[in-house]
Amino acid sequence: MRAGLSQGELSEVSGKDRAQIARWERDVVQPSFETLRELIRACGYDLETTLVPFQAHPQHDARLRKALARTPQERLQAFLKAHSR
Amino acid sequence: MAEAFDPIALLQALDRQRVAYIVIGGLGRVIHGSDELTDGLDIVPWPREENLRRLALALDDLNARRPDGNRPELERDIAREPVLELETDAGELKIVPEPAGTRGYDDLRRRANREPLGHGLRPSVASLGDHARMLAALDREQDREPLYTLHRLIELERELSRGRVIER
Repeated sequence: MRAGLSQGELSEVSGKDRAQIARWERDVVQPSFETLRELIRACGYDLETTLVPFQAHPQHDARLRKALARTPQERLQAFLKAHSR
Repeated sequence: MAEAFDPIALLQALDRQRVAYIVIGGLGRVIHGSDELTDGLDIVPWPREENLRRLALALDDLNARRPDGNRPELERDIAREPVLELETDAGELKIVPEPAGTRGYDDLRRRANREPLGHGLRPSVASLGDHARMLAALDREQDREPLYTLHRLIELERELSRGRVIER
């Protein structure tokens, strides 16, 4: 994205198959960490990884799980209800 | 004074004129499950001339006006401004031909889904991944929290689907 490359251009600079890049972009499958790093380096960037303490947000996650269990229509209704308050 | 936000009325007005568009922004994120509040509808219109003509009719129906109070001249305005901000009788409407980090309508359409929202409405809504892509590209402090929420929604959806694989 930041490199401003199309799928075809990314395929050319990284040597990866264009169809595979499309599958990654569509989120059908995910590249491994090593492949992701190769792609990023082919774009002229690098991926730094740092270990940091994991911060769980159980209440936030609970709200999101509840929202995911709803239909889009129910999510919109909940939004309209909250918005009118 | 700003009109009360009525997303149903906005979407119905677009549907009445058979406008092709993709919902993005805060309302798009809400439809995907984000718990944020928003006061407007953001859309990416199909940039074909005929569709922009229909969108202009819908804007007339909604009594759309620019921040200076003037009526928009759609094709001229979207050629000049990356985001056309309008006030309508049903609240704020932003027209964004090419959102940050994307190549516009055709780019988003491939992964967008038609989401049933009731009232006969099934608008195309940009995918969760594309919503994250747009917010990340804006690189704004105010978007950190909604961006975290989107990433968490993507992870939780993956947990629920469990059908995907990590591959080389």
